[in-house]
Amino acid sequence: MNRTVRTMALLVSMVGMTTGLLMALTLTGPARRTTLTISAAASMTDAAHELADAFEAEHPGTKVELNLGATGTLKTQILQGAPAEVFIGASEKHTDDLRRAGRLAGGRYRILCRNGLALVVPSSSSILPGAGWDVLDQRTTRRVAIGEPSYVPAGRYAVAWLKRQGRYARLADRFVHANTVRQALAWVEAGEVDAGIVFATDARMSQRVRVVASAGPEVFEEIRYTIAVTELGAGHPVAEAFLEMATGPTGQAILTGHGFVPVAR
Amino acid sequence: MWEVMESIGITLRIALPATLLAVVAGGGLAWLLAGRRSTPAAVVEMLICLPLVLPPTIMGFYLLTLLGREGLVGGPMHRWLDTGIIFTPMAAVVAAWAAATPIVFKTLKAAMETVDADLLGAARLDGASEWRLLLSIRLPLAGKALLAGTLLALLRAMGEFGATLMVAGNIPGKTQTLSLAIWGAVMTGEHVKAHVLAVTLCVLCLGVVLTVRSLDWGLGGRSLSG
Repeated sequence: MNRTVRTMALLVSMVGMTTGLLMALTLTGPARRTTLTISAAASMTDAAHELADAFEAEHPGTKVELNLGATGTLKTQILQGAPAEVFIGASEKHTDDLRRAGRLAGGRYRILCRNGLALVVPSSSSILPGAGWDVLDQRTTRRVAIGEPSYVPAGRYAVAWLKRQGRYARLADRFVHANTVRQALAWVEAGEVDAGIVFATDARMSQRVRVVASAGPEVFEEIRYTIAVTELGAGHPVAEAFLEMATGPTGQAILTGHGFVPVAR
Repeated sequence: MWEVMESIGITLRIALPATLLAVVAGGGLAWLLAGRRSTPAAVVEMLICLPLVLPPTIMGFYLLTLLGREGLVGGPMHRWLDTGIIFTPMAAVVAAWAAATPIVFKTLKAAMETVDADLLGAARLDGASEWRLLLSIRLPLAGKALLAGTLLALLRAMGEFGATLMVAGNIPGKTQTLSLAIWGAVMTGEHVKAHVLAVTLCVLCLGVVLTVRSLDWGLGGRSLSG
């Protein structure tokens, strides 16, 4: 009797364990087509989807899988050997970290496109469009949202831009730091802050904020999105082809359609 | 709409096996450690509970270092089997499993420890083995706790986000669960889509809770929610 009970218990737990593992294994189905995995900055989500669709249309039999995340996260994943063949980053600094760690094919990357900064206020605000960056100096602008400058690219760019204008030091105590540029935008939308500095493409997507000043690539050229074939993608013709398409006329037209500024030729 | 359906499928295909594995692992560990007061037992218990206290992103980072191409587990897998699990649904199962196991463990361990020691002593005196105690006394008495622990684990697995994002990536149609899709929609400013996905996740959770509740009634007794 005792032995039967023991065998039963063992059997039940074994069956449970195997079922769990098998269920998990079936998730990883066989790969039928050539798959290209692209890690792309989350601020590029819509444009990246369109680039992927265009590429799949040009290359039948190739499936593009997009991994969308914060540029810093994508970098960490690649440093740990995650299987991404192409990397699109919102910050040249992170891309350069990967290059120096030897994770980019041939140690090379290209500039994919550029972006600008926008000063936004809640749409309920009385500040008018075109009011300019002086809005930041007004006494009624008590709290300004920016991304945490140490790890959110948009925040770092905002600080660099304000420093260049000589405004940063006297405004430093007004800033509220957000975890992502999206969070900064959400605070402005909710009216929790009086203003916020976000990417021009972010400002464009929201109907609940008003752009009162902007700094495009013609005055602030530092915001460059990069694209590179990773060490793992080295020698894969499909990865190289994607790079060519994205930096070529087709890709640049798609990016322009989403508010990004094409690379100066 | 298709995207939402796809995310529901992915969420369930990841959360269900993860929960099953968490129940086996958490339950087994609870049985092994119930009633033990030694220092090694305390250390093991602390290790099991780490995923509860560590921010999911850090948990994900540790899993990534462990399972990645250069990791302790991922390294040999890559060298000898030429395979890897980063950016696959399997990685999401591991992340959800790590998050859900301590929940089952703590719930079941507490339930097992409330079993009257005299009852177990009497059974032992009558010659019952530890397995017999488990099947005839501990588990029947802990039935409700097992159900509650499983429910909590499943909900936690369905909502898992930070660690999943790190090890499984956020790949639509492959590893993008409802939680990841909600985050993606918020990131791209698609608030309507985010709301639709959030409501879907809530309805799905409600379905799970109601199912478990009916099971609980089946066990005889009051419902989990009182």
